[in-house]
Amino acid sequence: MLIEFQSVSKSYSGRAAVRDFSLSVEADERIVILGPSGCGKTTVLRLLAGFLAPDAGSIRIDGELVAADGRVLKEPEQRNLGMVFQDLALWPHLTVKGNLEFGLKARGLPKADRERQISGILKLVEMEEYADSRPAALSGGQQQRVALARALVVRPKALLMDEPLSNLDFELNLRLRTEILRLHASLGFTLLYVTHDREEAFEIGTRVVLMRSGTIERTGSVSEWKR
Amino acid sequence: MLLIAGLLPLVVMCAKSVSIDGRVSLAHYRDLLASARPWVLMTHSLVLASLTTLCATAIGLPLGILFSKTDLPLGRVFAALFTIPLLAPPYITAVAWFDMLGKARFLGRAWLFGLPGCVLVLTSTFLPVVILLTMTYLNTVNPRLEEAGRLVAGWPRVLRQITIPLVRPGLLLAAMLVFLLTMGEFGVPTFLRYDVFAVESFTQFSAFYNFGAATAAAIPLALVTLVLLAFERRFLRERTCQLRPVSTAERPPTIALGSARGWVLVGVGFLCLILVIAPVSILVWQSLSGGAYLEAFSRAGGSLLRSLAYAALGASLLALLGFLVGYLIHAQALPFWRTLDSLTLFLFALPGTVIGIGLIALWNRPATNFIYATPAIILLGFLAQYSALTSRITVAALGQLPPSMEEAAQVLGAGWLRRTTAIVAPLAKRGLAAGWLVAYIFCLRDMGISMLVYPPGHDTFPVRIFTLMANGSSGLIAALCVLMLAVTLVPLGLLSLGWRAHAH
Amino acid sequence: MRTRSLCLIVLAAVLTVLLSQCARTPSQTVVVYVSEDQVFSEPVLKDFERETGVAVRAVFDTEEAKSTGAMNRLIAEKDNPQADVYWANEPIRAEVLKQRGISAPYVSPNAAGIPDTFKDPEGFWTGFSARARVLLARRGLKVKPESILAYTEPRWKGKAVIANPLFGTTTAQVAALFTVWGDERAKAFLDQLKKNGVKISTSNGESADLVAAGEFEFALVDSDDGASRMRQHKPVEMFYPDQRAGEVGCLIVPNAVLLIQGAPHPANARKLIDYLLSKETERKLAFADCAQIPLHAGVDTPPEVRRIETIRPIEINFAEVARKMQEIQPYLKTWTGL
Repeated sequence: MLIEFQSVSKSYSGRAAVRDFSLSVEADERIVILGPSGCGKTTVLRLLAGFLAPDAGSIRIDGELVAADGRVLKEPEQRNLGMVFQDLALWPHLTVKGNLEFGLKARGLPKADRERQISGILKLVEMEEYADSRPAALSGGQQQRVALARALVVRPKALLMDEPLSNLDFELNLRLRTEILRLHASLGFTLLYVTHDREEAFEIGTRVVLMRSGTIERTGSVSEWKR
Repeated sequence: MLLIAGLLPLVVMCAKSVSIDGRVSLAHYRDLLASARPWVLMTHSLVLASLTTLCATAIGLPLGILFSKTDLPLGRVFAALFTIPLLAPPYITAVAWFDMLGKARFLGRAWLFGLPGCVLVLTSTFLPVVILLTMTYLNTVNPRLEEAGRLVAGWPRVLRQITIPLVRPGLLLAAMLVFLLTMGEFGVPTFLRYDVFAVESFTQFSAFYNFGAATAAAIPLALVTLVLLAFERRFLRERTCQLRPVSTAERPPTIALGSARGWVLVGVGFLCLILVIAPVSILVWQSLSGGAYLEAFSRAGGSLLRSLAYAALGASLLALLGFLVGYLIHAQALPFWRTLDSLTLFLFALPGTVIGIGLIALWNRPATNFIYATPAIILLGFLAQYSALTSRITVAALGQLPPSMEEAAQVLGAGWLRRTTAIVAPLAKRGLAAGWLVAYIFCLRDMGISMLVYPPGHDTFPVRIFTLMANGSSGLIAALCVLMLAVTLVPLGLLSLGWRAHAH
Repeated sequence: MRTRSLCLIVLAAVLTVLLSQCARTPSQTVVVYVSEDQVFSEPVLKDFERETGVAVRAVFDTEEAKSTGAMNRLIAEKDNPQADVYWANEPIRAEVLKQRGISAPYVSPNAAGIPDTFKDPEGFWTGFSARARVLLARRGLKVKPESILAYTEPRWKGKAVIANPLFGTTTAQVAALFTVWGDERAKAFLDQLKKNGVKISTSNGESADLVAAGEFEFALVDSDDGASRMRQHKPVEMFYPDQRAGEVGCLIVPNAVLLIQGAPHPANARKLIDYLLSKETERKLAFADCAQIPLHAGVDTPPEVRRIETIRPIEINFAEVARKMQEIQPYLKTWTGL
């Protein structure tokens, strides 16, 4: 089991965002957390990333306890996760290459290895000729791909995605769903994906978790749902 | 960490400056509060400070908007011009007004003395604080918010109900700074014969050489800070964090002045004429008396270069310290940092003399001579007195960054140092530069601290202007001031031109 | 990239300036704190530097009412003195420092020619190059002010100005009056001043400028303030007050030089003190714009500088005046309205 949430709860300003949330994620699974806005799905992601500490319950990654008893035991930078944010958060002052290189530099990879991994991932997302462009010069879809590449180039244990496709037009949305699945097939990683769109959820996920008002209403594999 | 090292001088010095009077305990406070006179003086000070703040804000806010958001020609030139009175010692401005009115008899001169004159001179001196801060904070407003408003209303309404409320933290900061600066000013009120509270502390130093009483007399000035901070807390209850779009290449929407442009230009020009050009022309005119510039150059010696160097270094250190402190306040890591913010403002409000004496008491020992006998001591003084400026501006600059920027770096494995230097700092560049500029101006014009701690033979330019004022000819003094203004503005002008070229 | 190179250039420039400051530490130095106006004292110090090869590092002072300065530094630095010599512009400050144990006794060989009234008997300070406290009046007045009692005469109601008596030589003057007249008479005099609408200025220099500008008819200032305005051809004239028999006399305020207790460079300090007390220095200060009166006999002076023997001084003892000054300070504070 790669990721485990055990009875995790979190409140802000008196309101319970997540209540008694338990979930196990296996390696290479594609879990989609589906739910309306305000149901707590983004909070779950941020708890896993380590930006928030759970008020109660525990979180384990790869068997190791990373958060429990109201405290963060392992900082986000040590959890080896990848994340694509809702606003993408591409750094405007760095080129595409600079954005990708950042995480590799942080891990102390030598230059030759960095170059190799960057060109590898750029090829995979078909953005090679944009290596020296700035994010501002790219289209929405292109920025998405760069954000994906940045998260994946460091070979994270799991990839977290927070409603990444919600701002895109229908065609682009469909295309990128395919992208994500293709990347998953070639690279192989665990995916934790958050969305409010049912169709998206069922196309991308192997297992779908329905959340409402901070708790899991229903969960099951895609086939189980369809029955 | 580094913060403790940077803050140690601040904190310890604060303790020292209190212990000077702590030894003699409450006797000074008793004497201070005993007679009625200090209360009268305090009232005068509060009235002067309130009026000055009101005028400076009322004039400075529209000017800041005009210079940074409209298509008014020469916006930056005007901004630079209005900054001039802040650079010259306010006392000189008062004397310039006195001389100017002496020449233009028809305007009368009696009204200059007393409250109206003080308000006029100090407003023109501290107006740039409001203008600069307004311009800095306006840059942090998300253009989307204004555009959304523009779809349904004209600019006046959008400004009033959307833009200005969004820059409220900046306005409040500017108002507080002007208020505190006016409270601490005694040179101008003394010359214009309006008695203020700051004189009390000063007199204890200058006439009685009584450090304990002087510090005790300075504390009420700093206590005013606490009141102001309480006010501020009330007005700024929620932390408004707004998302700014990723591309910083986008310029915020400019307001087209259209047909009004001519009139506005004339209006601004007229204001500039009265508040800036007129006093400066008097100075220039006086300085033209035979050989004044030659004498100025020879008398100025190395002090001009020294001042520029100290100010540049001081501003850089302040930018660094301010960034660290501002980052922690912004991250609200611990409630302790709120107290730190109050502390920096408290130090800002204290007269430079008090801080100076504290510095001497702390650092004038054989063991620390390598600091005390060098310009480093002046820099420590700057750090103590002016960190409020850079830390507050940093908080504003950081507030406009989407948190996801830093979080993305964190997830990718970057520790605090890497993500701060590679991601946060570059993204907050604009704000940090503004902070540097404001710190530079204040370090350059500093008198109170420099006067007391400069290593013998290494005086700064404002100090030299004042020492030469004693029986130096008015031509010489005028020439020195003009020199100071020119030397300050020219590099700033070049810097801003370079900045603009870089941004395009 | 542009910003980074710009920053580097600026940094390089700054460091060059700073290093050039630190590099200048020659072998022989003397540190002097100076309360005499920089425009007058600096040339003398530069001459000393040139003639002896000892580098002078100076801290100059502003007019007292404009900012705090040298005195406060000396007092604050007492436990670890940075200064070697203090050149005070009047002896009261020298007395205050003596009382606080900041000065050390040194009797210079050049002090021999200076009258005893202008020296500390134990050698803690020595006077030289004096100013007289004079009445500076607008040129063309029908009646000239010839006594400080003019401040109380109704014909000059509201037309006179005096520097703030809490600071500088004006304090010395008031304290001297208290010593000579006694508390009652002196207080009565000050009250009369108030009743007669006297205006208080921030300094002697400002008083002189106000009279020169025609804002007031006369002011009590130092003779060097008066002399410098006259050299600038301003429409003013100087009167030495109360010279007739039975009148109180004119206050003579010498410069005072002293050695600091624990001075870092004591040998050079003595050299400087000797230099300042020499006849040559007094000659320079007499011919300079400050037109100060030499205390040594037989010093060359320009015609407009009155010789010390021709002025009737107020008969006082500076130590006593210093004590009196500290006594009356609270009263003066109330009088000036603080």
